[in-house]
Amino acid sequence: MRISGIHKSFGTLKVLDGVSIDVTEGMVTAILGPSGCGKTTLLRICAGLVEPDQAPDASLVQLRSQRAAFLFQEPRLLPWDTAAENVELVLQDLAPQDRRSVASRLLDEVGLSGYGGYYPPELSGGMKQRVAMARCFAYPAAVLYMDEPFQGLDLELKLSLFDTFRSLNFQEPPPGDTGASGPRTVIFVTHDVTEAALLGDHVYVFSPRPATVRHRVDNPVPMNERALQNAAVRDFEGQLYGMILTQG
Amino acid sequence: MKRFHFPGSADPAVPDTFFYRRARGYLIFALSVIVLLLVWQFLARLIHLEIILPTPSRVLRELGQIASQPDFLHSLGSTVARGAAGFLVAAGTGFVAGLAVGLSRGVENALKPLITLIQATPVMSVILLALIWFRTGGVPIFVAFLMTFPVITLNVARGVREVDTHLLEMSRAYHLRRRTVLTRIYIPSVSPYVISAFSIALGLTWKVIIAAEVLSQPPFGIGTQLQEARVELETARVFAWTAVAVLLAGASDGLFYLLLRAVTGKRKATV
Repeated sequence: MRISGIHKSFGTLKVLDGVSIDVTEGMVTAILGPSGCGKTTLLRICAGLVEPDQAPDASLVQLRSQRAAFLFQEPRLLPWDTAAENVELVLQDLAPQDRRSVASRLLDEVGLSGYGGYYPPELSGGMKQRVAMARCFAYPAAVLYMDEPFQGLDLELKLSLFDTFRSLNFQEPPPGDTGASGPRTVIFVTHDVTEAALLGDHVYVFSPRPATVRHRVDNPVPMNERALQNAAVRDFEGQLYGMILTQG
Repeated sequence: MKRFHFPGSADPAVPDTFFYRRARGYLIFALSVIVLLLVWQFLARLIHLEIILPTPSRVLRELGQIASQPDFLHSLGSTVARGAAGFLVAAGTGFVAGLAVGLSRGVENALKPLITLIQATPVMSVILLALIWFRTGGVPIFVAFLMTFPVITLNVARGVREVDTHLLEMSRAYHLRRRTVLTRIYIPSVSPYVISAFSIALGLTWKVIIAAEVLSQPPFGIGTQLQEARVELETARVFAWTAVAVLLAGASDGLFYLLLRAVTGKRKATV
């Protein structure tokens, strides 16, 4: 699916200058760019939270018509509801007992068994982002938007969240799924080269604002073999660094 | 009951547990009350003129005397009824107006001149005008309503505006239903503001009601009794009725929080 020629300005500030990306079904499309380059705006346009300057074309309309889950920069949990209630929140179409079982299964899978009754202020930053991840994978969706959800977490926590993400994305979809099966189509925005090298199947390197696509590279290492210890991953990481540094 | 925190005042001989900290808090509170009473007693002795400053014990006796009068409950009840009427009307209309102001800039701009006008008008002007317009018993209710309405409206509006936009965006991203957004995001975010608005308004209500009663002189009311006592230069009685007003404000505040705990406790249990 090709999302093409997206322009967006906020007042006189030009943010996106004719950006086009290909989104492959069931793959992770990573968008790597400097902070404030407009990559989050592109994500929000794809998700339908922001309108582009020109009317959305057929493929953008099609992308938007699919059910989508979100992982934001912040966990965005309701502070007055427990972890389990936060996950159940997005399962409004299910019967109450199904909601409870889906929520508890997903909390188990993100490594938070026994924490369902805790309130967000009682949890650490990493645990809160895990709850957000449980909520996101509890929601039946074909598309997943990730807006720097690993930002500000330490490396160890980040790597374990990557593992959780991989195991959740490649498992059976939850009951009540709207027909999409298998891994979700992921659009992943980040400014962290390592994150892009570890998670992105296709990586787009963006220029500083106004954002344009500088490079598109495919990850030579299959998802399940990617690890920091893998030399091929490190080579790919080096290649991405090279692209960013030669941008001038 | 308020809890006091005195960091650094820990005595190594006293274990710093929750119980002891709490007990120490109550002790300091009680000591503070005793010191205030002693200062009052000392000044009364120094001045030695009951018409200027009666002693605490004299006021306590006076309090017993007015409480045993047949009209006491009638006066107290009349003030309570007026306060409740003014507060309930202001709470209802202020809450609705606050929601509207918080959600819509248009409504905000439309109501702003009125609210600013009410807030800037001296209480005494409102009372005097109300005296011209209404019967005596209605004056305090009208004045209390007018004085507390802006407080409630502005606080509720602020609460609505402080709703976390990140959470609202999350609710849109996950296509949450309107009703879910209202009950799970808006109401929990706004309720602390509503509670503080009601608490402030309740305290304000008694002061305004009594001030209006002093001037409008309805047949029964704490304000009426205060004014009569003043005219008769019964200073101890002025103090005694003031004590009744203070106790009334304290009791209503306590009742409000008790009610609140009962309501929120029940809600937590059913979810």
